[in-house]
Amino acid sequence: MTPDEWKRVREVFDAALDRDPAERAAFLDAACAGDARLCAEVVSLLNVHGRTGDFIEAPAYETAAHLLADEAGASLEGRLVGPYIIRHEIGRGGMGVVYLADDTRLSRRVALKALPPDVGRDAARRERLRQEARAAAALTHPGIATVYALEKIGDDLYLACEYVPGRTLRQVLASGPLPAPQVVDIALQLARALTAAHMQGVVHRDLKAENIVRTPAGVVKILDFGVARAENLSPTHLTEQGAILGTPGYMAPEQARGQHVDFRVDLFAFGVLIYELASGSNPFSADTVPATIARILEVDPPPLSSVCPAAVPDLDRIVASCLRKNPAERYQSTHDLVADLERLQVEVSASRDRADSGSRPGAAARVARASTPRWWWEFHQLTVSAVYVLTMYPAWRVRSWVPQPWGLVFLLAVLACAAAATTLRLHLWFTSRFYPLELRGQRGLALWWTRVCDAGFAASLLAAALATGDAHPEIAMLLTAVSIAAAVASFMIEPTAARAAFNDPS
Amino acid sequence: MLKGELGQSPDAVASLVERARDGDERALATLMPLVYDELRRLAAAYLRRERPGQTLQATALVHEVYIRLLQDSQLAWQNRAHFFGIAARSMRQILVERARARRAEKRGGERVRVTLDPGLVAAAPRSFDLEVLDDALTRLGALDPDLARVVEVRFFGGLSIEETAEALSVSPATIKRRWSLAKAWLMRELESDPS
Repeated sequence: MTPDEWKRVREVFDAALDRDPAERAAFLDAACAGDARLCAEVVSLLNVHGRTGDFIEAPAYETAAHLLADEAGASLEGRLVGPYIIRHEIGRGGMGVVYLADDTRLSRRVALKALPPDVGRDAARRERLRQEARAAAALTHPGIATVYALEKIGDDLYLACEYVPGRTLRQVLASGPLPAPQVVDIALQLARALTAAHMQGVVHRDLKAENIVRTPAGVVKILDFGVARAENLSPTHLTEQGAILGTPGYMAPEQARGQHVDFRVDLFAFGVLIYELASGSNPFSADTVPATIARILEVDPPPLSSVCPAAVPDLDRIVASCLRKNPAERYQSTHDLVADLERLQVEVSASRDRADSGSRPGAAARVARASTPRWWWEFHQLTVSAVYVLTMYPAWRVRSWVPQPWGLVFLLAVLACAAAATTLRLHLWFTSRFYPLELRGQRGLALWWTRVCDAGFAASLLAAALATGDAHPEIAMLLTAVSIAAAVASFMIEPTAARAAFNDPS
Repeated sequence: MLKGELGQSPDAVASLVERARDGDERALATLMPLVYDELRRLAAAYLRRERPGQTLQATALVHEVYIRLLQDSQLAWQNRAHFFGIAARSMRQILVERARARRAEKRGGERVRVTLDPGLVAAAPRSFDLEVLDDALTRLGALDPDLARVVEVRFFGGLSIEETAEALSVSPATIKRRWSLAKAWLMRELESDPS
């Protein structure tokens, strides 16, 4: 852009801002006078202008205080803070540094969070945090890390919580999705903890894989209950404007819109979390925060069973219910969620017991996998591929019985169709096993070509059968049978199997 | 006490500011590190909580540096404004250097994000990369130095609209307009940044 062009952009932008938003369009038409580039630039800037909000409004040294804090060597390790002896740092996040500390009064181990200095210094935020901490401290449940105290030591605020050794679910997820029985077990523990909190009117609002720890004994505990939200609270003007709190990938649509939220936002986050545990990836995550939010607002994730072959059908339904965009369509009580999960756990452990009673180890996994429509669909792909490959031998023999050059044409046609159809099917099978999230797209791409190759394959065989029928009736019968079987498999069986496996529209 | 600590008397600093304003490069070269060091020291002290009862939010660091360096020296207001401009530039330098150093320390060279409110995420990009912002601001400076200057003084210097107007010798209304456009331009740049 030349300096003159930019000068013009500035003038039009300033003038447009001075006008009533309703009149801007008309003004821009007149001011740009057919200069489309100018118009586009100003409109783009005006659009962004409407969203700038608090962007860079607070001075850099406040927003980037942590950069300076590092320089100050603010680590507290080994120091005595009030009654706490700080042992070492165990975590660091937006809401401050977390230390493992010893409470000298009660000689117990605590997780001590040093809250950012500005939280401690802002009276309104401090008061809010205190209220939240009080509500959270009233929660006693094995699935919730207890809040012990909110301490003001010197000028700073510290939150003392139960120390939970173990790995966060984020760390657990690093090694891939979990098997269904484990997912159901974690889901049930979490749902019970949520019920306890929701009954007392405490909503977490920032449930995520980072906030949940699984101890070596397998107990799942939710951290930061109630206070996660309070810590995040911005100066009040932000919330009054409907600022969005929460982690984008787990945020419920109503949260993303800045609307009123209740316990059902936890159910949404719970649904995302379970989806993630079972499939290995967050169904809404995108490259940028706005893109993630857009997906949360608009995209219905594919059913869990379509991205995770091992998923139990009932879990699919439970997760789908939690992920409804409209909170009124989700579970209306966390109790109901627990009840459904309890039933599911009984089923899952019963099927495991059945499988365990079988003599061979690993039978459980085979039973679970063989019973899903998805497994049958995969099986179909492999079977058809095998038949195509095996048909090449009779085709090779038949070519010399058909008058030349038609024998060679027949052989090459069968070879081309079988090679293409087999390759496409094996590709789909591989995608289904190893990249389930991409299967939907790949199936769409391959569908038409597979059909064409199948049709070509069946037609070529049928033509060869007619040509060799007189001399070799038994071979002609074989070819005809394979041809019909291939056509039926391609045009009837496969669509049905796919419909069952992927809920395709019929 | 301050005199010994800073190695420069307030009057000497005042004269440096005056000379720098008149275009004396050497005076500016002497003044910059002085301001830079004082800002760093003061910011670190705040965060080390050496000064209970005083808040980072309530006290603009740049003002504080001004008071400490110049004390009661009577500076013409143009000079005072010029000083703020220098301080804002130093602040930008300090923060971007720190962000860069932090990234270098981290394995994998992950970029440091500045979160406007800890843990808070909103539709507007409330969390952004300080280095990316700095690059964008440099590009804005090439396109329109006036706008970049306003951002530097407001965002890195922490001055209000009125103070910025004073520092840049233009009307508050003009500053407001430039600020609106600069913010929109920068935010658009940050949004289109793939990181």
